[in-house]
Amino acid sequence: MNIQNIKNLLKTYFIENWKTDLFQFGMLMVIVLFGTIMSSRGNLNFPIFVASIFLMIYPERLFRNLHGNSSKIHYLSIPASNSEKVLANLVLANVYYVVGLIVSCCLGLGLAQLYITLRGFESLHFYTALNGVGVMLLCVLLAMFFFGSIYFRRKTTLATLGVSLLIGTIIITLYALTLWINGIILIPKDAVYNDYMWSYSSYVIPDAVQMIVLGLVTVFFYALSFLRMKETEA
Amino acid sequence: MVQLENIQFGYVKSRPLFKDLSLTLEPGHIYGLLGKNGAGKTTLLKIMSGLRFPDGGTVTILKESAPLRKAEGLQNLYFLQEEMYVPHLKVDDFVKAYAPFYPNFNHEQFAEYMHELELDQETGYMDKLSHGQKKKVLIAFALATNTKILIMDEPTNGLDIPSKSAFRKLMASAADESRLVIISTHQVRDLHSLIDMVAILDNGHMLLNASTYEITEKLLFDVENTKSSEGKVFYTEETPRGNYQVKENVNHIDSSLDLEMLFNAAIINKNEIANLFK
Repeated sequence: MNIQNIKNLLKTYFIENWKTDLFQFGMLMVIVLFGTIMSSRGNLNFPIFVASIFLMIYPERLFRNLHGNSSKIHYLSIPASNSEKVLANLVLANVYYVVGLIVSCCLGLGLAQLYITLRGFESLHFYTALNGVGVMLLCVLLAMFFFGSIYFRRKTTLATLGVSLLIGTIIITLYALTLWINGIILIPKDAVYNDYMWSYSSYVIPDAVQMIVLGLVTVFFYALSFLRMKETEA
Repeated sequence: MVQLENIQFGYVKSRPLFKDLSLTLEPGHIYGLLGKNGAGKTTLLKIMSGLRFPDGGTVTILKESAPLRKAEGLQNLYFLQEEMYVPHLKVDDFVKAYAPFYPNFNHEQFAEYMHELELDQETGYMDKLSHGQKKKVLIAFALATNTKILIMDEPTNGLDIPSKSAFRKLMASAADESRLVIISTHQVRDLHSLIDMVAILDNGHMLLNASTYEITEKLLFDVENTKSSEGKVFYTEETPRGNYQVKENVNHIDSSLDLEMLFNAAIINKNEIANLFK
């Protein structure tokens, strides 16, 4: 792993993409600004939702050179190792773009607050339902789309979304079937539990454990991304 | 410098493209890689560059395994593809973005090559240039990288006549003892004065891998019976000057190599030519 190669990859990215990124950050700021003004509420869930969509689409653009025959040769021939290429893009997706999105959202919210104050309305009280588990869930989703953008050849965001939904549906169906077979589904949540029955609380996994599991899943998808990049051919 | 040993490769398992293909390419030469359409020239170049992985055998570039695509290896290899990709960048920005990857990149040489190819660095976005202009920018860039290995797939396709001669001139000046240049082409007439090694790929094997000196030592390229009537004739073609022949050079007479005639002779007389150059 050579830091200079990663720096060169980042420099190449910024030379090629700064205009597109600036446009996207500006677009997010405008959406957040108008969304907040129109709702006249300080609910941060809307900006977080929109920024998350931007974030999930981003890996497709990061790896767009892998989705064309000649651009793939160009990308794979760049003098940097496979791991350096994955790592540079990982930094871009997890640090640079996330910071850019947060700054855009803050600017949008700030401008909305300014507008509302100037119009003489009551100041916004910002609040969100996003907690640590929610942040980790976003990390998993980003890692999934990151892997999908290397794995699939075209329309990678849609393909990842489609496959994830399919797998999710299968897992939920199997889980529901298991519960149904066991008869647990028939037990109401507020039932009185005793030693002979499953306790409802036994299904609640502590946040810390959830975050660790989600962290591991994130690492798993990035490891898959590296392996996939290593075996990518032109 | 580049070594392929017993390469097995096929896009479809039932139809292998290369069967036990072995080839060694040494620095200080410009190789012309010739072959019929679909012979696998581009695939072979990709395998050499680590862009395709063989099903069997080993590919070594500068003592490293090519499929690993290590940064150190790629810094010393430039692959100029036939269907080029250029990003939406001006030439100057392209150089700023990609030159730092090549430790031996020379900006003065690049400006000089651009001038030789009648290109202006101030031209607009590269993706808006004509096919020929894009190719010329990339040729100038490829040469200025000063990589030890330069692989070019149909470099003269899309170039106008003055650019083809400028290309030959640049290539001749850029070649040195430490550099290996591999050029795959159909347009053999564009390169006959440039290359000093000929590799002919046919039916999954290297039919011929010899220097132009060795070829003209063993084969005579001439109009029928002008210089010698002796030796087995491998190929004849009617031309306005008479019957042009490729025959065995039994009397070691000097003649100038005609790549097109050589190729035809080699394809028609596979075994004889292969035995002659063993």
